[in-house]
Amino acid sequence: MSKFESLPVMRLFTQSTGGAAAPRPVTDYSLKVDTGSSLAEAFVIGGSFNMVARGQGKLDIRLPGGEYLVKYRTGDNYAEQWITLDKDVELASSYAPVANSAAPIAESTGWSNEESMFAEQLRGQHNLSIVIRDRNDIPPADDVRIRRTDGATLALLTDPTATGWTSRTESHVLGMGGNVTAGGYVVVVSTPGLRPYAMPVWVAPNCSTQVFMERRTLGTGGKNRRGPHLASASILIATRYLDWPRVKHLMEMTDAAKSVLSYDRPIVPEEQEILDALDEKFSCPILGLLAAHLLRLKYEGLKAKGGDASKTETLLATVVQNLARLMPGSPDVGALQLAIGVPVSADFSVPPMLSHSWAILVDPAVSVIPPNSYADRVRAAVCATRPWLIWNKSKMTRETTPANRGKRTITVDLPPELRLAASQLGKHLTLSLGPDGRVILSRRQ
Amino acid sequence: MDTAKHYALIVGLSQYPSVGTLKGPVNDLQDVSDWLTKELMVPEANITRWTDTPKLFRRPSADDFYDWILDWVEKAKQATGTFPLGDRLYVYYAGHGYNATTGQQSMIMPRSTPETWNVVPMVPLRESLRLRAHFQEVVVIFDACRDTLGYGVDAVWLDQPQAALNSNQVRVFSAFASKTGKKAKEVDFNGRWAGVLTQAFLAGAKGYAADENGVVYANAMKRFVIAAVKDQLGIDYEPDIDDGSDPNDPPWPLFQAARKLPRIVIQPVTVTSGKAAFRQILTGDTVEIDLAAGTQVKEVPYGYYGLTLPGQAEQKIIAAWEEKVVQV
Repeated sequence: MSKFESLPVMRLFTQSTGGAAAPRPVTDYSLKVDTGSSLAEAFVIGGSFNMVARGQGKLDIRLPGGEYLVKYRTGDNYAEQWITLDKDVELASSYAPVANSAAPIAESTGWSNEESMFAEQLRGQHNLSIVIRDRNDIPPADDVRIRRTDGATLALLTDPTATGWTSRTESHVLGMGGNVTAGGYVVVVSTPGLRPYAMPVWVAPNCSTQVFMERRTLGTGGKNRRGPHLASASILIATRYLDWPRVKHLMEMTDAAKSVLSYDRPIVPEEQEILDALDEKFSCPILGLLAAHLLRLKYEGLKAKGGDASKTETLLATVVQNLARLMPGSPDVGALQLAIGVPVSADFSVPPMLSHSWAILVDPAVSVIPPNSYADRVRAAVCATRPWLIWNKSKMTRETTPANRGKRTITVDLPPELRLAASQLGKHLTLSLGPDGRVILSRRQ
Repeated sequence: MDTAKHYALIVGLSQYPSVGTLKGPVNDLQDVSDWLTKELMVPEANITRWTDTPKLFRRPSADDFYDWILDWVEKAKQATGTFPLGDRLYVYYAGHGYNATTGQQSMIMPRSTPETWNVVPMVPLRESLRLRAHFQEVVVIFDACRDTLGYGVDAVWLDQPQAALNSNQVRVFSAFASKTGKKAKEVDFNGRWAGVLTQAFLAGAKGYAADENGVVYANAMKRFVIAAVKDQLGIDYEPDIDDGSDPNDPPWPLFQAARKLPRIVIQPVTVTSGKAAFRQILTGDTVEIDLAAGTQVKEVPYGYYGLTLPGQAEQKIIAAWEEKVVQV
């Protein structure tokens, strides 16, 4: 019981809280909001918690005079400000939050100009590079490797020269770069005392792929260590020869799109921004890829609500077609092709970069991942991360070779969804297929 | 609203041998149970409750959810009608949760260990219920974290029913305690730990989100719960709520409850003299408060208010919870 229960209660403001009808005639005023990014949202909230307006990127509306709460959202970063609308009001972008990023996208993320230029030089010289930043220290050479899906190590941060790669440090940033043929690779991060985690990256022709990671205190199973944080990585795939302002803008857009996709907001960049990202000369395929998944979310949302989705569908088809040209063979592009029902040309033996693509590929109705391929062996090890697909490398299924075939490898004969279920049953139970095709649940021997 | 045709599965799990103990879920389960039976008058026989099962804490598990669905499927075979089993189904969960890659917001069952992962994805479960269209309405409350766990295995849901012909007519209200990647919170409510989402939802359903006619509409419930949770935890803890209504649809009545008004307690502690201005943001109407008169209790409709002390800038106040104490 409240300790104020015995006090007299005075009832105030008993009129309607409906919010739709203003209690007295008031003048309308113009409210213009510029969030500074086409991927940021602005909401205008009235006095009874009611949303009176919503905009993406920019908002231009007339409202009855009064006081309103303006809420900004970029991915899952929020900011709020109260405004009094007693005259026309224009709100600048300084209040809107920037997306979380490990890349040098803004002064607010703490990168010095020298560090940013160092990262950009690395990107200009190599088509695959890793950049690790430690906010508080000079980063040591962590156990970060770039591997092919056949298991061969291409580069090792602790000894890059042994594999022909270059590694340099600039203040709080450590970078490693090399040149590889276009295709799929795996970044593996092993922090001593913790499990090794891996993430696929794609290298597109004529583009440079750059992975930014921040060193953080990491913890699993009650242990805490400091190391590069893979799940929050920022990844830029863009044409190599671009000027820095353009690169920075693309990084900002890519990280905003990454953040929005992580939280499944069906917020799509402006059409021209998407098409620019897919331009032959100034392309940024990763932004196109993220935008394609955002378009897909929007398309599905419109379709579910019976709205007109035809424009979104047409744009999505164009984006996927252009992505197929810029990232030939990419399983992410293949997943999108499957999703929109166009002919597929992709290497599904390599895992896709995005968990949203992975969700399409592991749908039991799709079944395109070749059995015993690298992507297939990742299934049971996939972590619950977004938007990047990450797996616990120690949990990957062993490769089936002629030498070990027949020895406790019955699960490869199961449909994918049952194999995943079986992997979750633990060490005492197992699923297998009986001679009549029925699924048998049994205790492990 | 014939609550005799309402059914509920309510789950509150506090004991997790390998994941960590929670303080609130069992209290929340009790509160939700009391609200259903004593205020909504849902028959006791219509409610299924699952909570901690000592000593090994291996139940409930994902299998129990499959069994529960299959029980409804069997009952539906015996029943008739457009929505054969009832008007509304509540699915409530308080416990540990995480965000799976494909299954997204997922309940973690207490037998889970990092090696033996046993989880139930909430949205696929909700879709299983919606697609079968056994009930006209489904209300889903998920008071659990949605952060990403490095060791959390992606959840798989093996129930994939065909859509019933009228499944697109099923109305669904879903409330998740946090957005993807964020934690939910339980806090001490006057000496008793409970989930903030659950308590905000119950406050709204019990009448604090009701209009003058005692109707709690789904869209009003959504904005009320968001404001109440943010008032308790801050702007970074906005819950993720889908009120199941299209902006062009007429409002969907969720509950009928006698309207209650939040109480603002203004308690002078450091400023004990002079006049304060207390203003309703919606209308701009202002009343004067004599601070020398000591602690005062004001009952107001839910919403935003402004309080201006002598010589100070206005501070904003959210009126949503039963009682908010503002010390000045």
